[in-house]
Amino acid sequence: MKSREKNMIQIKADSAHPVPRGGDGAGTSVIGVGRAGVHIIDQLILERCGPRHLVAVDTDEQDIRASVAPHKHLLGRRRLRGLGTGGDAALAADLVRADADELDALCAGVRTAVLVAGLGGGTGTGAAPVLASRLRAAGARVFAVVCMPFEFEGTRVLRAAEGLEVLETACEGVAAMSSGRLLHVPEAREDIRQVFRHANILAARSASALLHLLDASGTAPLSPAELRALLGTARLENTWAAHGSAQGADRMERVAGQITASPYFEDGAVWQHAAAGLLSVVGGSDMPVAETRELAERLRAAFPVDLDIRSSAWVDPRSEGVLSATLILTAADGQPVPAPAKASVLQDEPPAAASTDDLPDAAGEEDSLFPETAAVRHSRKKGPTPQRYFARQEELQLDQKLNRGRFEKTTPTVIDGQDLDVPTFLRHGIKLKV
Amino acid sequence: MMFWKKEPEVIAALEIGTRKIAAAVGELREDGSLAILGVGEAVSAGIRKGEIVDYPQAQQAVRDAILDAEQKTQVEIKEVYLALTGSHLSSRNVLVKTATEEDDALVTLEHVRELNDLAAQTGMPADHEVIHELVQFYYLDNRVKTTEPVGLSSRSLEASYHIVSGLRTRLETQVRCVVELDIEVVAVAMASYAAAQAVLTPDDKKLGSVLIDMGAGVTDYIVYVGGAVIHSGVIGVGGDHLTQDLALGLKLPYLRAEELKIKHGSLRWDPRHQPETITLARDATTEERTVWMESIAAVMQARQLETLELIRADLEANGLWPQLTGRVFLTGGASRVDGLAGMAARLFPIPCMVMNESRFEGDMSHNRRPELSTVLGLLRYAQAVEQTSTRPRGLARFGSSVREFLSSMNLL
Repeated sequence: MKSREKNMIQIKADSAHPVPRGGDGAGTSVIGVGRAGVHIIDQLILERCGPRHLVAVDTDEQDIRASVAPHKHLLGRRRLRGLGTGGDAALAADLVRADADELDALCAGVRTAVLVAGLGGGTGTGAAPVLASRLRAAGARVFAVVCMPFEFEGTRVLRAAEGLEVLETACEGVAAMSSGRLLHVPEAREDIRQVFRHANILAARSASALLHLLDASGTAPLSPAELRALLGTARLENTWAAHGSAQGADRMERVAGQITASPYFEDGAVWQHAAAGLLSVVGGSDMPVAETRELAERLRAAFPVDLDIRSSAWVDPRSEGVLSATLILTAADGQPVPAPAKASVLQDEPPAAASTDDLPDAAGEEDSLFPETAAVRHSRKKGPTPQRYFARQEELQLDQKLNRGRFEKTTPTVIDGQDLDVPTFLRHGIKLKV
Repeated sequence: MMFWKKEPEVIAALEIGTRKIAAAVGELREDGSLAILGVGEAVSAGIRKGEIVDYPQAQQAVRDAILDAEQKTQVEIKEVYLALTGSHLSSRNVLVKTATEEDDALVTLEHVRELNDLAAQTGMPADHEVIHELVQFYYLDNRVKTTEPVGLSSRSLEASYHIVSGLRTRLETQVRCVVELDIEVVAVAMASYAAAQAVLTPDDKKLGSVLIDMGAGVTDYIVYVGGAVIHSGVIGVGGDHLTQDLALGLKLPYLRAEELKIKHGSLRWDPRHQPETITLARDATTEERTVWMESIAAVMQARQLETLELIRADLEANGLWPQLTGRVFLTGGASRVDGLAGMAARLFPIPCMVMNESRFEGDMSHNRRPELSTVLGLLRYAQAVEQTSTRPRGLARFGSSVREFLSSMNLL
């Protein structure tokens, strides 16, 4: 276990001096590939947190037209006539090679890029690795943030796993996030699209955070090699992200609260599998160094285990008066990652309360300066050794064949996370006399 | 065979269903009433969950159904009203507002049109196309409620709409499937909305009723309160799922499972009155088999209960139950399953009935077939359209004028 002193934030604590102003983001880019990628780019623009150079690349003309990205490219205009690849990843890869000249011109001058995509479909899975290779060949550092499909999406999960393998060899590092873990976001129970919206926002924030962490004008920038090592081996789920943003006098406390209340961290299982944390703090020119340090310390204190958290603060002129922070936890290599949602039940006694609303006043707690989720507190009571209290492990069953029978080729009917095309008696575990 | 040239007073409705394609032909009599001339049918192919997955097969089935209808009714079908369904359909309620002229404060047709346009644009996903813009109520100054605001005086005009839309590409596929057969699609209607015209009386609509149309591919539902549609939905689960569940659970070929469902399918099993097992005779593909009635009931009960519970929960989440004082009506082919009425009665907080009889004149041989509710209801919808003067022609049906036209039929 690393000592807390060793984990201290690596910036000089000087509250009298604000954080030096960040760079203009020249040479950095976020490139969205495929439908999910384009939506993530749009989210970056809506959240006003990305670099200026944002590129949307897709084979579907409707998505490209609807996007608000400043730079857009429709792949394979002649071959596909804007109709998409229909899930053909190999075709998407070919199209990038065919459109190489136009794409090179679009990405000229990019030194650090983060590719964002959803894996499991055609364009994102096929085009992203080829595009990453081209960028690297042109001398750029390329990382990727990808959203993985739901566990129940069958062939898409397999395709995503294959795509991830290829993408990992083409990039410096890949942050893979599971969409399934967001299924228990309260809004998602009403509307599955909310899962995608949350996933897009977190992917957008993560992409932006990676660029900030790498930016030399931040307070404690990471080198690409360090980031690569921290991200580790790409797996179906190797990162979890949370974001908080607030303004006003108690903004730092509120940001910390929002991060710890993130749906990714809600079940407490994630902590046990995290190896390191990356914290990107963005604020206006008035942001004191002490504030960023204190935020990192508060977050660290909230964790049930000591994590090595690397943080860097960055000044964005668009964020005057606003403090926003993104925390990315990365998985330990070789550790099994708990399956999303289902693994939320701890093996011991269940958490006392599911949400922060049910918690007693934080002021009454000696060791807690701000509210923490019940699951986290539950884990902390048990002590810091992961082996003693880790969650029930349910790995993604890649080879599990969900029997959709006659509906194999149709769009799944999914309500409340249940695939209704799978017989009800199977899902409910009803035993039949045969 | 000699066909008569289609006369203007003859109308045709088409439903591309998952189990069957039905084309109903009706005659508009001079007194304005509707008489069924006949219904042509063909077994569907290439359709799953209400959506076309194999275009050539589906088109052939549509062609067969139209030919069957033509032969039965001796009418050459040149244009149809088309029922649409599929889990891609979505609906929402919107409230839009405009101001009238300062001077006379008179509400004109222009204001109503302006609201129609506003409503269609509100919260509309980019890849969706409007199917219905159903006006619920208009509100004048001080929230005075009316259903016909034109000619009244008010400084502001507000209107609530129930907007139904669907994925443009899927809608186009269905329409194209018909248009390519040289048959014009006059207008389209959501399947549950069409079925409501066959099943619900004006009183049911006013009291606040729910219609659940349990088809082979999907289950559609629509909720009326105060005579207006206030909620609708589609769940991509239907009778096909029941058959598939039986096939997988009892390890039977799909067609045997379908036969078993139709002959012996039930949601209840009482050992005092029903046999414990059923023996399925040997056929070319399967050996003689014995299946437990208890298992059949368990499989079917789990599925039907889940579907109805989803609908109940949706209506509960939207806070609709307190507004409903009428009944829940169940129709569609999958509503024929034995024991459904009892299950629904235990589940829903208002009285329920399985609607297996509709009230149509003319060829009355179809009145006891709940699976034809949609296509027969669509004829009634077509009747209302034909009796309005602003009927759109040709491609205008998918443009803005059709929205205006459909909403002019408010509170049908």
